[in-house]
Amino acid sequence: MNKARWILGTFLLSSVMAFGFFGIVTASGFSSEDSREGNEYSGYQKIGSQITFKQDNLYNEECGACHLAYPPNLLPVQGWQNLMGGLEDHFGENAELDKETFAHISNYLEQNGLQRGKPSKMSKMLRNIPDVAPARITELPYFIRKHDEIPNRMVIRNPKVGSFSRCDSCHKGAAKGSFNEDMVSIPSFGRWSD
Amino acid sequence: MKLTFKKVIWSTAIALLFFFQTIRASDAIDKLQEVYQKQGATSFSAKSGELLWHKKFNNRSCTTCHSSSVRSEGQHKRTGKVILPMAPSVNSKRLTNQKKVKKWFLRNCKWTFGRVCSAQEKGDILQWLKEQ
Ligand code: HEC
Ligand code: HEC
Ligand code: HEC
Repeated sequence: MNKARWILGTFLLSSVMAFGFFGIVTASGFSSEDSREGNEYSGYQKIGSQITFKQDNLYNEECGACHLAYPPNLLPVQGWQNLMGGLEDHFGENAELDKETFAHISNYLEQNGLQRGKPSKMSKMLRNIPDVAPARITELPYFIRKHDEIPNRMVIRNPKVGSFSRCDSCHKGAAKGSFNEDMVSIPSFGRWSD
Repeated sequence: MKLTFKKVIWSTAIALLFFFQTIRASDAIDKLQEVYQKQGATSFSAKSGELLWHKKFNNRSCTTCHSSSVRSEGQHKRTGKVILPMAPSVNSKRLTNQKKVKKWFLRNCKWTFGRVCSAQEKGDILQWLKEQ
């Protein structure tokens, strides 16, 4: 009799533990979906007291897989739209997204991208842009002007950099949207002073 | 009814057994492999998976970005971004989300071999990776 009780008790206890754990596993498997709602409230990235841009988990995960998740306030909204229009051939890579994720990220970039008449810490990136906004930050006239004195040996021929697209190799605060000239450090060459 | 030490140990052991059984059964890899079998794959071979992982095609292979050891960090060939190790024994977050695995199989098979991978090939690779 006692034996039967113990077997029953053990069985019930194990089942409860097993189901509980199953719940945890399945719940965490869907965490990326859940976080979509949470994103709205994940707050602004603050540098000093200046509001730069809003972080978004889904954007950081999807658009930060192959490179730095470029802060959205580095390109005009139109440039983002051009880029999002061609994700199946994204500079030679396939970066396609499912419909839901695509809509979420497009919306995020439209809300946080640069726009004339809308104040932003990075508004200077809008200077002299051509009628059709480029889909590359490195092709914006302001970007080119700010970087044209840096010699190739520090960039393309520098194995620790390789390309201007790798903002974070020289600007340590890039992921947070911080590009302060005084904080630049070029790998193997150190601080930049002009 | 006496609560003996033996009984407590015994019931805890059984409970733990169930516990680990469910971790395995709810594994994203197992579920994906089931799907691949429904798509016509037979039993999966870790050996074939390993060979495919290292196979060179037009000078490209999975190791181009994931490095020659799945226990080490890799680096994206074009952007230079660091890619964390692929082996679940080193990086427990690996291969835990079905949607993510499917997405990258699609992208990376096309990038590496210029075509999609078959259900058999994907199942073989997972069979090998999960033991790493
Ligand atoms: C599969 C890998 C991959 C994914 C995913 C990806 N990218 Fe890229 N991206 C690249 C590569 C490769 C380049 C080109 C880098 C170079 O030329 O050095 C690039 C370049 C860029 C550039 C231009 C940078 C410059 O030179 O100014 C932007 C902007 C960009 N990506 C945004 C995104 C956004 C937004 C997403 C998400 C929707 C995304 N990327 C997802 C691989 C990827
Ligand atoms: C090879 C290193 C290097 C890389 C890579 C690089 N930068 Fe720079 N960047 C610099 C240097 C050096 C300066 C300062 C130039 C000067 O003082 O004239 C600078 C200046 C800037 C400025 C002006 C800062 C200010 O205070 O106005 C911005 C904005 C900027 N970079 C953005 C970027 C972005 C965005 C990327 C990636 C798409 C990038 N940089 C990639 C080295 C780099
Ligand atoms: C061009 C670079 C590149 C190549 C080549 C490449 N991968 Fe990847 N792979 C990535 C990137 C980037 C990620 C996503 C980043 C991350 O998860 O850290 C990824 C992620 C994955 C994932 C998802 C892992 C997870 O945790 O869910 C799998 C599976 C995968 N790759 C398999 C392969 C296979 C199989 C091959 C060869 C056919 C391959 N990769 C070749 C860049 C590459």
